Amino acid sequence: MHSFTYILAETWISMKKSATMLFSAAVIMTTALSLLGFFIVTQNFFKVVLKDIENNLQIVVFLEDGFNERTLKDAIIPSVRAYPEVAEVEYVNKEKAREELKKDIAELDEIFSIIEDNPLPSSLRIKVRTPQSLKTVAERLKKENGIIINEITYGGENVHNFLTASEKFKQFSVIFLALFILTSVIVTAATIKLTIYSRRSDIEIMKLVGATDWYVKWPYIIEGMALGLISSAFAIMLVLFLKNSAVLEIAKSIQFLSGFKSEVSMLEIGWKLTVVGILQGIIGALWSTSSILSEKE
Amino acid sequence: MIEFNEVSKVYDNGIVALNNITLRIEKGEFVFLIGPSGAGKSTFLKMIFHEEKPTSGQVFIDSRDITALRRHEIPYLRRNIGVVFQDFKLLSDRTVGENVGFALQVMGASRAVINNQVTKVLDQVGLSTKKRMYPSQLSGGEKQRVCIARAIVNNPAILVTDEPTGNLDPYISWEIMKLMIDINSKGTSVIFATHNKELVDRMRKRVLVLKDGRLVKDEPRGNFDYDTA
Repeated sequence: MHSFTYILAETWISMKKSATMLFSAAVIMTTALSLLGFFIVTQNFFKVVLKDIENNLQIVVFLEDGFNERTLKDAIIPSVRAYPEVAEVEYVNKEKAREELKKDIAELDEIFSIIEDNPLPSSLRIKVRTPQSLKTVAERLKKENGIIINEITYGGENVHNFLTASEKFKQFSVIFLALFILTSVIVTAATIKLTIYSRRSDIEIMKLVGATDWYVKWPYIIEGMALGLISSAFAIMLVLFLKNSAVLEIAKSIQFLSGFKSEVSMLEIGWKLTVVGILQGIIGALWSTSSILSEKE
Repeated sequence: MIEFNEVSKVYDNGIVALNNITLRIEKGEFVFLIGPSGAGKSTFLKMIFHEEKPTSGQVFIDSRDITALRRHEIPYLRRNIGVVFQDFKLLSDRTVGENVGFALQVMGASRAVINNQVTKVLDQVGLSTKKRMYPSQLSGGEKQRVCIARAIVNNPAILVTDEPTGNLDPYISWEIMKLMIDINSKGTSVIFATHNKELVDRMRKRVLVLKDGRLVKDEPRGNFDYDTA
């Protein structure tokens, strides 16, 4: 127990001794962690947007008037529902379509009261399990017997291209994130190494009086952890500020993105940055002390 | 007991620091190590506390071959060997008491043990009133006595000193010498590397003479004389 107290005391002495270097290291780590945090925010944001777009991808089959509703309900819908790619089939008759439209656009209420006939077509809204199957399902529906299809809409090539691009973005972002963390660890370790180099004579004295490698290392490891913790705290504050001021402003300005505020979790970003920060500190300290200690026995 | 068995040391740059040294230093012995600059004195001392490893040969301490020690065993060897340097090697941001206690601290000694030992040893070196002072507030002789106090605080069996009087005036040098004699009289082996002729000639102790890395003279009651060797 007293050894632990001494190690903590050594940590404090060591931190006081190289306050300027530690400040530099903290600035570098805070910058690296903030960039990482901002990257996570952006990535999360796009992930949620993509997910939402994917979830709402559906095929709308507009039906020509005069079809047999009984056949539709008893045969066609169960048949479509049985497609392995299909998750959900909803039948929207002319009346329901009108109600929905009136609900969305209140001004239309007056127009509908003038027009006797309902000009809106009945439709089937078909949600698919994967975006990739949109085209397949649409093609199959065209061949389905028993209904006269007026029009099928599903976004076609544009949706396909968008989804391919989003998939590539996901893959690249994983590689980019890994590279970024690695760079950040190297920069942090190099900075900690500089602070340790400035205390080489102290380490030499420690070794001469019989300190074990771990006795020398522990204060620097604790120092690295503290550095990581402090830097991640600053980085979290910075990311929080950027998130609130930039990302959400962008989100608000684009109508269909405005609902994503709650999806970007600060708690998740917080713990991720803290863990990465502390690990950076520990790895940096271990790497630096090991290289200095191995210079001389 | 320290034993060198055909020890040679060649540095990476090709300099032969020690050349086939074989000797034995008994427990409790006082030995002067002399020789011109670059003769290999510091390398010889470093072999004892494993700061350097021989290129060939073995160094034994209490019959144990320390050249075969594994890295994690070295600190435990050093805890039994006190080392004193010409340039003191004190921690400037710690008090005299903290510097001396540091050697016990790294061994995991309790606060009470550290306090007792530090008080005792500072009294022995005549610095009991300077416990709370910092190295920058001390004279050269006082700094060297702090260094000696740190070296002997855990009662080592061996005390290795590398020109401890090199920066000190004759009077202070003699004071340091008296301290060494006192430590030696308590059973600690002392290996004292020096350029101080007066001390060596006055003490008439065993003298080892190194020249170009070779042991050229080993006299039981020698003088400071390496020119005739």
